[in-house]
Amino acid sequence: MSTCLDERELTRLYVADGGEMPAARTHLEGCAGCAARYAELARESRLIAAAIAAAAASGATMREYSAAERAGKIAWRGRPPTRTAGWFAGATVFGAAAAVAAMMALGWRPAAPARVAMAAAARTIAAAPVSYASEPRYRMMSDPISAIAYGEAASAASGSGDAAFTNYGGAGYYGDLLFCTPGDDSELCATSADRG
Amino acid sequence: MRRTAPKPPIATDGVAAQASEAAPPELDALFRTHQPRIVRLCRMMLGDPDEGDEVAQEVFVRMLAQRRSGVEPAQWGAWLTRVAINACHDRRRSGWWKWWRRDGRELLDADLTTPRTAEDEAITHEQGAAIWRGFRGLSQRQREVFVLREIEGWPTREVGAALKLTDQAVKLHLFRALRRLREILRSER
Repeated sequence: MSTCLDERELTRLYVADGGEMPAARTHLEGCAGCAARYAELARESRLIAAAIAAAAASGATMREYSAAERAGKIAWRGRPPTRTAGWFAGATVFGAAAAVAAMMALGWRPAAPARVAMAAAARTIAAAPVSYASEPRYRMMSDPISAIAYGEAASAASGSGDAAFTNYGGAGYYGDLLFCTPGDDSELCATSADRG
Repeated sequence: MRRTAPKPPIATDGVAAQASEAAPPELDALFRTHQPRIVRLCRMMLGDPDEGDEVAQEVFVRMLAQRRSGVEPAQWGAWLTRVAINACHDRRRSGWWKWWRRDGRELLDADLTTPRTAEDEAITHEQGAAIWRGFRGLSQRQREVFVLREIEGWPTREVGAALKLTDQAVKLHLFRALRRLREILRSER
């Protein structure tokens, strides 16, 4: 072996039994640099083994080291959990954002509940305008959303000349109808056209 | 798992007294010859002085029982080491011993008297603490292999036989343990 041994090879050589890795051993015999590094590795290993054996031989030392280790762990545990909590919070936000993005990519859009209800009500009215026209007051007093829908539907109907929706003052009246029932002539329910 | 109250640690002198009562002087000599090494081995294998001491007591109780059975091993040193390794394994496997560990537990054992070597002198207190932390941070297998081969000086084959590992696995564990501990030693310089 002509090239010098790196740390990994030197450690493998140290760990190997006698007779293993003959090429490395041959190189070591002829290379002062590698031999010095190997000797340093062996010295450090002896130091480590001696330190561990000395700690184990002295119950007091071992306990002192263990106590210091525990204190270090407790100190670490006692810190505000910013790192872990931050990581989880970030992961949660990222996950939620990714889920929303994926759903939107698949065609989903956030729906405004009032608009959905209004559209549904309008469809119902359009399907049966006469029944709503016959008793609008009671329906709309109990259901404001129906009232809104009723106003929109009525405006549309008056524009198309439907007689059922022209009984309460014509298109202008229904155009401003919001939470007032048809025929309500209170000031609050007066149209801007009436007030003007 | 039901948590049980911690057992008070048994003083090493208790076993010595038991050995003395049981009496043959050679038994007492046997105990005194091997006790420091076995206690140290158990402490290192378990990484905990209290548990190590308790397991070492169990080992010497078994030694007494073996002695009384009339079947003596060829070499007490090797027999005690193997019993200690197995006892440490049993203790680790059982898992319940962790529940007994308490901070600030009162301890009755005395330090083992081992002569300080040149290597001991070369290690500072901080380095020693860091190495011990690193040693405890190793996997159980890495710790066992390091202890048996680097500290007890066993050949690879015997370490493998004791731990039921192949030679290659022993070397791999030792390689990793050594690399990690050297990194720690160097970082403390």
